Amino acid sequence: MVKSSSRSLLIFGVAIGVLVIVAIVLVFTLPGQGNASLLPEDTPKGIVQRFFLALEAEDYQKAYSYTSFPSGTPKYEEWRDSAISSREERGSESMRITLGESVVTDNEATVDVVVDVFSPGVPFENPVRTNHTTFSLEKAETSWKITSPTYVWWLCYS
Amino acid sequence: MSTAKRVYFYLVYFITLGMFSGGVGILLSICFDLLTRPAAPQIGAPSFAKEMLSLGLAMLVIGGVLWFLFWRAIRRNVAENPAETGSAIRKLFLNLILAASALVGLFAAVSFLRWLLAGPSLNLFPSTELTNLIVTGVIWYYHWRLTEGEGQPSPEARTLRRWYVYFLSGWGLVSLSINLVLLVNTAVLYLPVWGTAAISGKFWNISVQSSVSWILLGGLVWFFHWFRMARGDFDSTLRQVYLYLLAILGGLMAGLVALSMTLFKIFSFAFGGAGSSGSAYFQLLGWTVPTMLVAAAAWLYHTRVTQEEAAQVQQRLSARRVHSYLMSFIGLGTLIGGLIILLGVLLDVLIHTIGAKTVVVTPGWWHDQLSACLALLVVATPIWLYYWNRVLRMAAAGGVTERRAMSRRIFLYTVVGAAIIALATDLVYIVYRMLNGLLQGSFGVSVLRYSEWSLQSLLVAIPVLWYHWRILRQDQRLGAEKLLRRKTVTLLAGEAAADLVSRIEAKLSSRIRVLRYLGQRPEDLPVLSDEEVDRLVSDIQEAPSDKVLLIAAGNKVTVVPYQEK
Repeated sequence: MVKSSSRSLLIFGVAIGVLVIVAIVLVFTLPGQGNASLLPEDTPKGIVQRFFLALEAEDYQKAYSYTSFPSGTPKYEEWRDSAISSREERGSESMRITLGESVVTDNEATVDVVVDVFSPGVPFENPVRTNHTTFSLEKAETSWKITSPTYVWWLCYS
Repeated sequence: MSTAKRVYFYLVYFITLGMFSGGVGILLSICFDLLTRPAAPQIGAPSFAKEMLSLGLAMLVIGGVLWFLFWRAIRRNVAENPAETGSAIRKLFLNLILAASALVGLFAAVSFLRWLLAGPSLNLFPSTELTNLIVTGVIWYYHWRLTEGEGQPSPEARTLRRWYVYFLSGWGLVSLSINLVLLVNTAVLYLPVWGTAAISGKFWNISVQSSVSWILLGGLVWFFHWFRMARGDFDSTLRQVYLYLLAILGGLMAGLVALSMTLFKIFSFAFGGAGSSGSAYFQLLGWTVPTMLVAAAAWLYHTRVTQEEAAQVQQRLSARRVHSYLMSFIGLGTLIGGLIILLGVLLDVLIHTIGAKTVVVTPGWWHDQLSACLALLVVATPIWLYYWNRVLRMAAAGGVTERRAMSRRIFLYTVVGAAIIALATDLVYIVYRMLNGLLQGSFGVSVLRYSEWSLQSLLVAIPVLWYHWRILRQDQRLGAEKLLRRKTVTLLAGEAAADLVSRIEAKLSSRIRVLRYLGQRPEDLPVLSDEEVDRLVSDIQEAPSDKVLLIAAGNKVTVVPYQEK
């Protein structure tokens, strides 16, 4: 009985050790780790990707240039202020954005986006908050423009 | 180990286990994320992964070391002191861990299965859910092997295990039942027969996938806990609570509500036509019919189980009695509701016949009320008659002991009290309206119109009060309300005394403590006839002190009154 429980303990310890090593190796060595290469600019996903990259780089003018909100609101200054506030709210928390399925119908498109925010809190709490959002886009002449969501305050409330 | 030390050990064990498993979970989640989403365009992934890795390693190392130290200390203590396995605190923590890991694992498994059923897409790989499933699965399995291996050597250990088993059994049964109804309802709503009211979109959507997942996994949880872990546990009060109150009573109530709604719709349709667009009128059958079927299945199965178990052991009457009175109460309440509405319809017709004013009535006014009261009466009458008949038979067979039962007293006094209050309130209002009419010089049909609701309620409250008051008086005449000095009774007997315990408790209408007489052979346990049990109970009640010890040995049961110094 004692022998079998020692063996189980050993196997368990080895499994945990293997898990640690595999995790470290994957994080530091997986090929292609880093931001994905830029998608074509004339695709809905490409526009959404550039939009987020611009936000991360705090280039709000550029990020806003990818949008075209119905009735022209919010205006750039108002939109920029809300983006800055949400960034400040998020603080130093890491964020990962994954672009999902994209559906194109004539001059309209949707792109599914998953936003993961890493925010370690109390014990037993999941440190990752996940938000699923759908971006809507419309084709204006040759390029796609984001029509919703209008504000990005939700980025800090995932 | 002292209680404080025990609490300290198990609490820290619990918390460090959570920390350690959280760390393992984060590392597993990283691995799954990185291996399954390489193709998905991502922004900010490298720093995100490094942050998670840092936290995961910190939790795993620190939590793991601490958990291991406490785990080893507890194991050593149990090895040195086998009685520790019966400790209430140990069993409380073990069963808490089992329950928490089972529930978290169940939710994670449902999410994972839903992803599989949706057609697995790597972009949407549920790494968190799979991680939770694996981690909680391992935790649950280890602690389940541990608790089953060491057994339940004390009454506290058995009780705590039962809480876990019947809680999970109930959870599984409810999940299975609700989602069966949801699935059928969704399928019905997607049928092409509803015209423009039909739901558009794909049937095989996230809601249906979720229902299917819950059916499969909830059913598995129920099956395992009810058929495997609860097998043979006839001597448990919690089992009776699960059977009578959750499965039988809960199933019956759900079925009755569904039946009432269905009958209301059918009567409404029969009396006044479809009203709104006919195609959508009976969409509600999509949930009422499966609810009735599922409720009937649950009720039939669990009733059969109670009947089989009653044949095997001296049945504990208390849960069955509570169930009978609860069902009588529900049946009576529903019946009263139906009768009040019926009287309201008749009074309304009378008032508007003799009244001079023309009243504009919206279409369906009479039909809906008539439909509602008929639906309630059709449902309530057989329920009340069946269960109240059972109550009357129990009282006739059980004599004054049955009439003295707490659930009976609560039922009768609640009904009588509610009837008196209703009566008083109604009378006050009616007299007020009459006096006001007389004093204002406006006594007429208007008084009747204003007092309509009170009249309906009064006309029903009077016979209800009269009938139950008579029963109360009868019980009082038979001595059901003679105050009995409650005795603390302890029985010293061997393992095979369960039957004797049940019979004494049934006669005393209260629980007794049992001290296990170690080493007593079953053949040494006295076998008492009903008359001997009655005499024993009499001796207990006539004993000079409030505390009585019964010693079952040497072919008799000796009654020993005692006092603590």
